[in-house]
Amino acid sequence: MRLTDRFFAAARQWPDQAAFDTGDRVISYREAAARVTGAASRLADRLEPGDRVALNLGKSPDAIMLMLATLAAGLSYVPIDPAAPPARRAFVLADSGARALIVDDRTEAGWPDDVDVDVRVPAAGLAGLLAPAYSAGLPAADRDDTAYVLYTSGSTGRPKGVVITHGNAEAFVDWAAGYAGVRPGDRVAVHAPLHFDLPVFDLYASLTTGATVCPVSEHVALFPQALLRMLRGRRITVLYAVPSALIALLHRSTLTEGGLPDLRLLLYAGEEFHPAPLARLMAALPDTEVHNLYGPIETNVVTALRVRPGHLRLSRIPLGHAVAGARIFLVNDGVPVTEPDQAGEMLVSGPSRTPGYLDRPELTAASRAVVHADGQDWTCHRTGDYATRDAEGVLHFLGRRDGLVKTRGFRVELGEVEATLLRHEAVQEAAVVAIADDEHTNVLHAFAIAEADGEELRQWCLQALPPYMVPATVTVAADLPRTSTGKLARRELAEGLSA
Amino acid sequence: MNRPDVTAYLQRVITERLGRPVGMGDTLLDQTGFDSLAIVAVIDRVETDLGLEMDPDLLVPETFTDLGTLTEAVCRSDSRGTT
Repeated sequence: MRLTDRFFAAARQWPDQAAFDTGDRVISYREAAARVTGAASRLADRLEPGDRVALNLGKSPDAIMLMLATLAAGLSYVPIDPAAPPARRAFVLADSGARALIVDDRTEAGWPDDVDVDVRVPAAGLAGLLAPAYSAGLPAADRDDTAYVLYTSGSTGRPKGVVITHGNAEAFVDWAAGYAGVRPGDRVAVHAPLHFDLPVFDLYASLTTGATVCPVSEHVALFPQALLRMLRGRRITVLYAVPSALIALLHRSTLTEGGLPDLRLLLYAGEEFHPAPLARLMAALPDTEVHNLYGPIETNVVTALRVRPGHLRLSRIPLGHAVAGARIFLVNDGVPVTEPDQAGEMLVSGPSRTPGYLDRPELTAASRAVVHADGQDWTCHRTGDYATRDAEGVLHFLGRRDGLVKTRGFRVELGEVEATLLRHEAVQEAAVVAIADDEHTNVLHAFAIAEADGEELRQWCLQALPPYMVPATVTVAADLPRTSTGKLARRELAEGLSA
Repeated sequence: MNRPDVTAYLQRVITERLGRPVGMGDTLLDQTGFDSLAIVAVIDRVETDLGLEMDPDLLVPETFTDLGTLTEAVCRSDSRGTT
């Protein structure tokens, strides 16, 4: 049964439950199902099965209903970050080959008139597209069909689209909804932006089980105290967020005065949560279960751990056991390790492993490895993360290979930021380093040999990259430190900044 | 600092951060680059430069509607700090 079939089944079972509650607008499952049906039939009439639909929409019930509608219509969706500069949005639209573009009031101005798509829905057309309908003959999608494409940072300077099939998404959602025990009466926040992978849990674990989706508006998500009010005011029971956002909530809101009594479950993922701030957060939320989830966008979540007081005394919070049917090998020099506590790169196989990157066979091939175990070959995604497995089978995170960092939960390839700087005509060489930061995990700093000033180069990045990828500082120098082989000495640059 | 000075000061701080001018009527949160890092940086700078602490209840989207609402919030924090 596809996710949308389960959504429609939930709507038949709990028609009067709220599917969405924004604070200003409550939409019942009955109404949501009719709107999704209406939009799906209108999209199916104008597009071919398998076509991709670009959704450049703010976080709203309309955006989420259109995600469901594209799936129900046998199409797939490509969420485009509303906060990205127009040039990057245009890149994603073209790279994804989307045949339709749907925008809202806030994003419309960022698009030129001559966009190469078959179907363009302007902001003024959203209400009509989502007008209710009560039946439609819709094409059914296959397990292996693409459900959605999520763009992530690419090391060579081009973002890459990760293709997620219906089967991949279902493997994750089946596990996650059961693990989290999501049920009618739950009020699940959508904190992360919709082009990110965290909301896959918020939306589909909720809308297939009769729970209520409560989007956190982009503006509220910027302000910890506003987020706190929203979580309290709408009595959120389940929250899934990145550690940076939770640390900001702890330090920059009045969370410790009264906590969040309705929050039964807090899930975090996207980056490490260090034990000290996590202990403070858990002390402020005595009635909330906290779980650490791990998995790159290419596999979705593949490990989980309920964080217990004993974990907080360790130097790092463990990753936990493999979940969602995933098989995780620790591979060292091409060979899976066999003894407890031996380190290896985490290679992931299983039903949530995605088929690869859209139209980038060379990148897909480079991200793959085949592991021979138990008499069969397992095609795996190479995560680039290193871990050990202890005698109890619990995985422990060790660190990452170079080049990819997390900042505020977003994944950034430093090479992509460097490539962006190098596209500026005045830049000869560029290096970007990430400096660890208690609140934002990492802050990016750039160095360049250039005939331009640093602020001009930072502006250039602002025009080309999403805000979280723009370096906090760009320093122009006559020369940069080198290693003995003549490569830029990134470590030395980083040490200079930390000192 | 009187109110027009506070507004001019805030305009300068935000303009420096974004690298392009912001006007009186501009919606601050719709400016490209005015993300959570930028907000924290602006608040930290204002608190340091003006020697005040903004009440957490003022650090909400309504405060950052435009330069006028931000000026209002800063002036309220200022008077709280000195009386």
